[in-house]
Amino acid sequence: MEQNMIYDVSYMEALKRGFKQYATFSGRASRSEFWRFMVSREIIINSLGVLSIIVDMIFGENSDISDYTIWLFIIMHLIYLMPTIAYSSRRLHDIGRSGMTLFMVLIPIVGFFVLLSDFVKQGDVSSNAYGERTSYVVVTPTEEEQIGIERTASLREDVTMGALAIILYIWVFVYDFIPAAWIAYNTSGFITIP
Amino acid sequence: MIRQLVIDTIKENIMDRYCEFSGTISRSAFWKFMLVEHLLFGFIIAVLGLLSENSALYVYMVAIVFAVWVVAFMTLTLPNLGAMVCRLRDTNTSEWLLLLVFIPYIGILIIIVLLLRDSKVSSVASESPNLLESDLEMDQFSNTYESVLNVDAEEGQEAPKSYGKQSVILATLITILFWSIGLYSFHSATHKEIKAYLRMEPGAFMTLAAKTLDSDTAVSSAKQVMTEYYTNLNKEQYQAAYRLLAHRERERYGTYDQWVKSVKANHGREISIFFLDGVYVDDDDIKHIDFDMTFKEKDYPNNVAVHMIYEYETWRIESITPYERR
Repeated sequence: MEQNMIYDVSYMEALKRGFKQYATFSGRASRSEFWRFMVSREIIINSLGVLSIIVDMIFGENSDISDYTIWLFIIMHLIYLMPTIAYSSRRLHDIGRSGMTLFMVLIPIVGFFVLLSDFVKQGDVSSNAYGERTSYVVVTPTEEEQIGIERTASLREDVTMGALAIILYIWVFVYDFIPAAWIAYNTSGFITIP
Repeated sequence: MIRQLVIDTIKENIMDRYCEFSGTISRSAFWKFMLVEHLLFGFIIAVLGLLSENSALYVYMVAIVFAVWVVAFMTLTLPNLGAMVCRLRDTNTSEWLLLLVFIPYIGILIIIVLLLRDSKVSSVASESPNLLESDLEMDQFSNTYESVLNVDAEEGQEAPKSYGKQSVILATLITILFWSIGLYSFHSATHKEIKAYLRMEPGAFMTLAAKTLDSDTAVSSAKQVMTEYYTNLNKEQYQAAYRLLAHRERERYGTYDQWVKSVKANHGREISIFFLDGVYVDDDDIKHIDFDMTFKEKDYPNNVAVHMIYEYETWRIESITPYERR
């Protein structure tokens, strides 16, 4: 297990690593495995959103099945909460910051962007206070059977998964935005005597 | 040509230097980045604008534009900020001048003028820090999948990419074309939808209202009830008008005779403007419609807000509230 950490991962491997180390707040995580985990998280959660849209269209919006899909969506968010926090703090260890700087996200707008710029920085080039580097050895198809780990994701895979995550996010966002905007418009449309 | 420009600019500014706040960027590279961003947005806005002319798709297109704006804001803020800071460092001005953008109307213009200045850093000094970084990256740490596979193919030299003025000018013209098509079609579609909404003709908002109320004829039958009510009042057929009210409005003045006395003051009113304020279905699955009416006479109060409710298979008037339009 420790030895497998030096390999650059594919999307399935990143998911597996995220869930196996869901409570590991020591150690480091490199950019590539962190972002592949995040993108696969977005894809899975937004696919559930799209599923709930389709179920709404077939069964109507207030049916029981529609409620169950919303519950599934919420439960998936909760399932992903711990691995996300653990992976994020390991990513912060990778650039030498303590995991506590994750709380910067609570600062309204600036905190989000500062944290995002941290997640995008290249990790420390050698071992730092939190451990050795991870995910720096590429696994080619020929080595796949030898080591038992899937080969590294190519650039084309990365771009495809990123585009898919963005499209699914926009789909779910649009579906939630329209009724909310219509309701907000209607409830403020009634004018009374001051 | 243009495709190569777009791909290379995106690769250089978004994928390679996503949040670089410590380098410099030349004037041509910065403005190519801005041009490519506007080209891509212009394309999206043009396509969605043309699609929004269709009434059924109008609301969805507006929502998609908003969603794309949110995604772009979250992902592209850091590259743009980084590019602007690097550009200011390149022109040897202080980066804190970027805060001038918060001045209401002229701030952005000041910043654009600052970003258009010449590069003042000498070529030797500007190249060495970047060279060190790229050496470090290429030699030791960027072993991506492709570079490991193509070890043999890296022997040839990389020719410097130049696009010439031709592709940049063409891209600028196409950007202007896309933006004008997009803005014009969104503008005309919005005008059309608002006009149809105010006259209660079929359009995007009427379709949404019909979908909320689960019926196509709800709004028109409610409108009919309202016009019938005022015609009955004008003809002094108080019984027929009273039947059109819901319980709350009926009991508002007490008995029937008291209601007749209070309503006599509204004798002889003609409706001049009549539009839909909103529809909703509340938690008990009762449907509501709000109307806004204006009368031809100018005496106070001229405007009336009407709330209607659907019970016993017809639309009834729940409340009529006069108000004054400010």
